[in-house]
Amino acid sequence: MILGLRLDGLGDGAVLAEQAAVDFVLLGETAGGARGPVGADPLSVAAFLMATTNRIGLVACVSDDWAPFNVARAVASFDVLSAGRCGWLASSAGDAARSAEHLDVVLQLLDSWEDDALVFDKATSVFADRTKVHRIRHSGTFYTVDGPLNAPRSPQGRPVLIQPVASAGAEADIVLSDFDDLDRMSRDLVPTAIRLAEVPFDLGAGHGAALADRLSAAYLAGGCEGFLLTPANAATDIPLLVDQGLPALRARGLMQTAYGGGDFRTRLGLVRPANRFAGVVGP
Amino acid sequence: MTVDPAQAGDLLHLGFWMLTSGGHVGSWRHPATRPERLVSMDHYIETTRLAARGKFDMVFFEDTLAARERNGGVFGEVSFNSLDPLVQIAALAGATSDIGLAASFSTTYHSPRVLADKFATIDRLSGGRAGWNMVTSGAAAGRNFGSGSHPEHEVRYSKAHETVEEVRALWASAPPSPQGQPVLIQAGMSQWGLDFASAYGEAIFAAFRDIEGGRAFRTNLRTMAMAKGRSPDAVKILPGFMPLIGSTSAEIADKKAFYRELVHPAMVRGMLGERFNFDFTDYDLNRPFPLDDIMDGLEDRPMIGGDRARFVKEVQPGDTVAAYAERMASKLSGHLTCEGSPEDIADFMQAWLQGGACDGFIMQALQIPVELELFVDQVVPVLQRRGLHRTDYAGLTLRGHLGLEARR
Repeated sequence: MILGLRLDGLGDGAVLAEQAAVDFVLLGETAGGARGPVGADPLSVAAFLMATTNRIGLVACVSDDWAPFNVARAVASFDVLSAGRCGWLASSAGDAARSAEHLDVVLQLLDSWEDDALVFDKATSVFADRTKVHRIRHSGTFYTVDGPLNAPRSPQGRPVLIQPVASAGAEADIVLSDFDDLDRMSRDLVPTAIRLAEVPFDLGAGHGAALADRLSAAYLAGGCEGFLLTPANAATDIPLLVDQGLPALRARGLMQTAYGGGDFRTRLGLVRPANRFAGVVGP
Repeated sequence: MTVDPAQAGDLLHLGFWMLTSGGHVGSWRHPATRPERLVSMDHYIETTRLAARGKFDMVFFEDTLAARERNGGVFGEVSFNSLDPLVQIAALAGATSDIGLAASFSTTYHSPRVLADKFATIDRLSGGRAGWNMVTSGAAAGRNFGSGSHPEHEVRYSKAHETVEEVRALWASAPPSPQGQPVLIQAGMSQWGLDFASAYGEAIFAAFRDIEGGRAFRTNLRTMAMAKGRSPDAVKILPGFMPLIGSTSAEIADKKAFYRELVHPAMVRGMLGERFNFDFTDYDLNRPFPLDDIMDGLEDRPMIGGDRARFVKEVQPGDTVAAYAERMASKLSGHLTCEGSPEDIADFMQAWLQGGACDGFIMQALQIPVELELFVDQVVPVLQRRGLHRTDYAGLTLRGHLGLEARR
């Protein structure tokens, strides 16, 4: 099963999660695009963790009250610099139509450089092949964006996209629902994405085995491919999860014991998306 | 006690201006550059650690909100301009422990809440080492943020005033870092820039032709800060600077020729196209400079930055395109340059500091890491022997390095 762990504040617990081969950590709130207190920007914390961890996937909630060019540039830069460890949870701060257009623009910008646009040919002085970098020329209801991005295409094709099931579109790599709401993620409704259920947990009184029982049952019933675990108290619950809950899952053969090869997307078993501009010649 | 606004500082403050492969446009073609590493965080971590070995006050990342272009497409003959600088300094907060981490971010295209949040977070993550260079962004950004029209000067600048006030109010509500709040940095020498700098700026990036110009600017800005109730020492003036280090005049001449050769003819034509929005791709460079054709087209192109007017002024009567291009390609940078031995470079820096013309420098290296390594290994020890530069960090915050008070 795929396991994510929600961290708060400045991301304490990420190193422990990596030692336990948790697939990813997630920073920030998922609901309603709300920003947390000043001084806990999820994307900055996730970028910080790029340097303090080596393998674990790093997912940041990114609110769409930030312009699409800024969002695309930030997640592309993050993915490029981390060699493919970036994910982002598209968090909606406005109405659904605006959010959908916002995401569409971000995904267009993430394709504005083709995979092989960076050439690095010193002899002919071609750093980038300009015929493989494209304007998106988007002019919509809410946004007008010309492009291209000033960051190359990300190593994963595009960073792993997580969306809450209520607002998820066809581009979502992972959809997320409440544990009590698993039926909303039936395969009929979500044909391709990885389905994760969010599970709040509190191991302050033990119960690591009970948590493992609960996750195993839901996973084996086929309602989802994994879980996003949200500790009640990160400082105490994450060490207990790593010491008790996760070993119980591993004992049942339900959780990886080490990271596989490749980037975050590959390790999740997701397909690398094609670039919509591939083969288009010129800007 | 009276304070003399012309009083020189006694210690250099050094920032390292991180550009992908270096400050020279041809640096990505340098034999020591591995361009594929320019997209890896490891390159920026290693460079920052090298600057920390030289006890620089900070590294600084610029910000550009549009791809660098020429003639309607990406300027592919040069390195890309900038990845998101805040992703970079946030990662550096996790990879380093003492050097300051500063970046530009736009007051035009980010809300006060976003700016406050990101810099406060990085300041906490780094233990009080963050600095924000407040920029209003260049005209090219407009096409990526709305109707394609970049706001006029005055609109951008009045928005910048409001934004920085709001950002500071938000910071006051956030958990403080060990330095209280991030350092506010500003560049720009217009009258508006001076008002803004004297009100808010704590480190000022500037460009001067000579030591007299620097002294006049510094004295003026310190006087303006005092008039606003600030200590003149709360404003540090750091001109842009790029040294060319060589032990003999022959070595220096060779190095200049070597860097000139890195500017490929295709790069030259591209730079001409970028500057004048005129397609020089197949133009015979031995023909006279087509200034009339360029000027005829200018009216149709609404986004003419101050730079283009300056470039036009640089065209001399009787210039062929090749003659203009040669001057352009031979220029090492738009900033102060100093050529010489490590002692010569140290003499130059000392004269500026002790002449009251600056409080230090925001330095570029021709190439990263070769020329930064030369500076750290050969010039820094000379500065240290002369008592002009720290031999180790005295504190752990950027404010501490810059000699600024903590801000609560």
